[in-house]
Amino acid sequence: MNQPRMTRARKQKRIPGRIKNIDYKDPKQLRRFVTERGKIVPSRISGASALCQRRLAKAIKRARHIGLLPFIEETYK
Amino acid sequence: MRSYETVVIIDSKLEEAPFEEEITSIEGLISSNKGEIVDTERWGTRKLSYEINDAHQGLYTLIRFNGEPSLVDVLDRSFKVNERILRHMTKRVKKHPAHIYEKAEQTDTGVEA
Repeated sequence: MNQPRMTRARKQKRIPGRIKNIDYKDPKQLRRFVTERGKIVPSRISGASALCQRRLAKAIKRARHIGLLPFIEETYK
Repeated sequence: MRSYETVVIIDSKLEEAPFEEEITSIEGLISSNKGEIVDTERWGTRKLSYEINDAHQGLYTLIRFNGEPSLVDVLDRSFKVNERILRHMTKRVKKHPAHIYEKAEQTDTGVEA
């Protein structure tokens, strides 16, 4: 038997879809779009538009490469 | 001519002097390959989010410059060979931000030697 589908409350969108000045050199800004563990937050939760999500993902990956953001947060290793 | 910016992380175990030397040698490499440096930003020592080559912190430098695409290859090669450089990344930018040029003019008029 199929389990009843879990209904999960959607998080309130706190950030408007459009995010300005996405910059890989600004880890402070990017921190808002990664989880405690360091994962990239999906746009359905962060509320970023598709275009901004793509830019964010790229910026986060760049920031990781130059050591400004972690791949995995130290405490979760 | 294209605009680029490069982030370089230098091993901070080095003393201050070789760190400066390292930057000037990078700048020299750019200008000797027909590039022009727009701005050099020193972010100072920063903690790395994760260990790179056993280092926990590094000296970050951002160099903005204009040059030909072949210059990027030259830089890339020299960074890879250099063991003091922990990480580097060159990114093409459409245009350098306007405030950079203002800053450059100010330093030209005598604040910095």
